[in-house]
Amino acid sequence: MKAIYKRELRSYFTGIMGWLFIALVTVVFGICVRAKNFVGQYPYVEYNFYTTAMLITLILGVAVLTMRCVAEERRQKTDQLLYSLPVSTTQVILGKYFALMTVMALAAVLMLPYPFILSLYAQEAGAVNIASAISGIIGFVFLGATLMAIGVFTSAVTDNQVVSAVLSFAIMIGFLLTSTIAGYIPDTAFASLCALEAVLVIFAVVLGLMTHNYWFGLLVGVITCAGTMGLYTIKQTWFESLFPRILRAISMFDRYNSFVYRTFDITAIVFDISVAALFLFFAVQAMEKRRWS
Amino acid sequence: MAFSAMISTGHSARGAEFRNATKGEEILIEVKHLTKQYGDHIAVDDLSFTIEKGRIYGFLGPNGAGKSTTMNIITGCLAATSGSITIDGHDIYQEPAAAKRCIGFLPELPPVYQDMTPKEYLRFVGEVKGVSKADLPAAVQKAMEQTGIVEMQDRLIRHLSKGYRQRVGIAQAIIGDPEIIILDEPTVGLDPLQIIEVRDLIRDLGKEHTVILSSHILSEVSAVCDHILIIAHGKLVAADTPENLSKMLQASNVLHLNVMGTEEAVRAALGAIEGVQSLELKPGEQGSFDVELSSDESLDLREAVFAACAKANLPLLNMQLEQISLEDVFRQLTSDDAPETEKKEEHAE
Repeated sequence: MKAIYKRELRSYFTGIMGWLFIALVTVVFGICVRAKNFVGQYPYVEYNFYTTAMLITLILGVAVLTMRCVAEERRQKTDQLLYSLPVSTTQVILGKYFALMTVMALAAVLMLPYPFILSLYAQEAGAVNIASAISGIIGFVFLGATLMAIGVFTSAVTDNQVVSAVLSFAIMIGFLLTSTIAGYIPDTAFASLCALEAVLVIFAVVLGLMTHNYWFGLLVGVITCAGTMGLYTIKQTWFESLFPRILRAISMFDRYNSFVYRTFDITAIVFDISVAALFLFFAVQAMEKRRWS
Repeated sequence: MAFSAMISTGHSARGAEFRNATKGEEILIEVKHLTKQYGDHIAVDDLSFTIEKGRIYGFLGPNGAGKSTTMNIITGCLAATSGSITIDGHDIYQEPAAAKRCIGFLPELPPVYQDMTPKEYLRFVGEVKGVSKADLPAAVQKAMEQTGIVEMQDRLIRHLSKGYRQRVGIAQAIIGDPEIIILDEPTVGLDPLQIIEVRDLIRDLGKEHTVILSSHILSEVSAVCDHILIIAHGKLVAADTPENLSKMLQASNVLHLNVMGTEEAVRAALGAIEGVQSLELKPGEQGSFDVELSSDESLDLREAVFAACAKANLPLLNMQLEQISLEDVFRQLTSDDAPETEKKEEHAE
């Protein structure tokens, strides 16, 4: 795993990608800090992490940085080497992921001086809260951790880098918009039921397509849909505003909010790590699947 | 013809010596009832064989016979539909790391990172294979020397020619001195001089390692291998030494003669020889006859033919023993017309 990590990290900095990612994130962050904190005289640096500019930059940066990590191996046929070496697929994916996280951490380290610089210009001592700023940066790194895992996953399912970038971008934007979408869904139980059924049908179709077993997909679809409908007839109150709650619950961007409001939120970090682990698990499965087809 | 000549001279002597030296040695790879199915297409069909220590094995078969698939499965790059593979006692599915540590593998396309230099690349592979930090520089140097890429060590692989990339791929397979070296079409894309170099390298490797290589080119396999496994349509159709393979198909001895004289006289003289099974006469040039005379496998009738012709005063212009070359064996075994079973029976005889 260590060798994979070293090779991967090296490739980000012998190529342009690592430098580009770090430059992009820190430059946009710098512009935001200058506009909001220096010109706008606002003492909280962490606010900038929740600006649209910063989030879109991170999403784009992650999509571009991660797009080649597995897809390129497949294109160059070096995945054959990895499969034949005494190293497990999990180790390969983790090595790659930790290399990505190192790039992310380097970008974060470059952001650390900002609150200190800002405090030099504070009119009264302690106006700039260094601790909350650092907590914000840590939250940003963990947000990056989940997004990187999504990128690794999309890179593992396709051998086309562009497809990988577009796919991960779409998933990340989807997560970014979940709370907005949640706001559009009425709180009535029936609306939640309809939305839930729609999601289950899509899930069943995808399952059927991926396993090439359409009867299995149909069966899963029928069972889950019938089950939810049955539950609905028994206990309608459960479904009141259920779907919007689910949507808000799965949005890592929403959880990240608390860091911006100066709370170090352990649950958000646990959630981020869980989502990252889930997507990395999917990435390992996607790589393993290649062995079987 | 050229191949059989090659085999019967230098090669057979070396091969025999080698076999005797390693006879009774342990079995390194055991493949049992291996099957690989892609949808409806069966790429490998109930394949079973063993690989013994210290030999050079050649997988021979036409394109699409299942050679690469088999190699990919042995090295753990591909999962089999059914069957088991044990490498030095380790099952490839149960203990993949231990099994893979015994193997160096060069896939069909050299799996090289374009953005690395050969030296960096070999360090990387060595490290993943578990070569200790202290031994790594020496191991990298040895692999580079063996494959002749020392002078290219600091160039980016992206800028290397196909031949050098192939060598980097071989260097990658041999670094860390694995017990078994598996090379999938190692000479594809190389120029004739490089092909000879690679063959010499494989022979060298064969002294210390067990080597398996695949090829659809017969001359290549017969030039370096001690043992040939012929695969067609995913099945093992023959497995033996190159010499035995060509012997196997030599069910009868056929002599080609060119004799002067009348048809009756030739027939009478040659037909009287003991052991002649069939006699075919075709008019040849200037009153001579081309004769195709076949006899039992064990008999060499050349002396008797000469004596009979001399006795009947028939000038014998030409006499040649037909030999079946490996090319013929290969063609016969892998041709589409004859059913598989029939061919197997033919060998058994």
